[in-house]
Amino acid sequence: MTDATFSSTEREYEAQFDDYVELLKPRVMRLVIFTALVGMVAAPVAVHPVIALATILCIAVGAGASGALNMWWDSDIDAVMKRTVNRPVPSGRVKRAEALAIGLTLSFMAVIMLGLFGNELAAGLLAFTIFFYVVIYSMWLKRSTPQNIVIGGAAGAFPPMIGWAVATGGISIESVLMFALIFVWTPPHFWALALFRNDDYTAAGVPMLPVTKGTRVTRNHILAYTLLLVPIAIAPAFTQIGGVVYFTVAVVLNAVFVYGALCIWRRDDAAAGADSYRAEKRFFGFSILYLFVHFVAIMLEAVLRAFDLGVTNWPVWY
Amino acid sequence: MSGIHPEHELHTRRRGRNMWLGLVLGAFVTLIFAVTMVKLSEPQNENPRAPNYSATAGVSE
Repeated sequence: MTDATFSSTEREYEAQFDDYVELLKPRVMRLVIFTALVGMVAAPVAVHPVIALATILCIAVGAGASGALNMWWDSDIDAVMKRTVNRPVPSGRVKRAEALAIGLTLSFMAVIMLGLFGNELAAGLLAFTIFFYVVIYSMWLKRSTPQNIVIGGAAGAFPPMIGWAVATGGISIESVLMFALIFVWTPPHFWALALFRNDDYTAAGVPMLPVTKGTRVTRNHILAYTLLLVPIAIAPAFTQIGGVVYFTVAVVLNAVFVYGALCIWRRDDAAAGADSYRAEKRFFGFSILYLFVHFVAIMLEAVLRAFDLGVTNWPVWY
Repeated sequence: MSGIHPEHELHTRRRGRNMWLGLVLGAFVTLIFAVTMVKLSEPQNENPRAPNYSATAGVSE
């Protein structure tokens, strides 16, 4: 090998550290870190801060690894959609083989380290989450059914359950409800996005609901899932992790969310096109705040309990 | 002279990436060390079949 091999005139773009970080979907990782942390903090068993930090990092790296594997598998459709065309693989900054290697290596390491730092159940749940997101959602459901996001949403719903499992070593009604909150929230969140990004999904051939069943059916589905979400979102108020603060926050957020879903349901494509999908975009933006504030409220309840500031006669049903 | 020598342009080009990778590996090692310290300081009574060394400590036959 000679110096000529590395000639600056012939070399391709070389991936920088930032490109590899972007491969791990840092925005998704932030949500994963936050919800896993809330699951851990809300649990009735205290976790040593060092163990908490180490296990949260494992969960975040596991989520990032599944993001890298998703980018490896979906690079063809990512290259077609405006929203994803600048991702590291379709833009050519990171090679597909690199994305696969990084995804597999980090997945393996994250699961093993979580087993060592935390416990076997948490590691098993993380392994299942990665498998579910990459194989069940990305490889199978995403391109084959308009219900892709309904079932695939489970992958994003596991982090608080994993955080809870790190602390308690088990699964309970509280962690299942946190899972259900994210799971049922995911379809209306993504269908609202799909309504105003319909062209992207059509071009890529991804059978999102508006592409296969039309926007009327999608609007009906958004309302139905939002109504289904209401009892699921309020139920944690009456468990060990809830309280009056969570209940108040959940009632207000769900009232606004249902109103937003009703606005979308009442409209048709002509009305939506006239104001550039204003209601749909607002609903999508609010949905992110909706989930974030629910988990902030759960964390707030945990802090209040820690300082014995909770309401003592609040009904706890589970 | 052929081959990669220390001042090659390749090193400059990859310096940022390698520095970050070094930092990540350093942080990983530190994390394992910190977790090990915490685990060792926890009570060792989770496995009932594990020998209880403290019970026999100082007893000579």
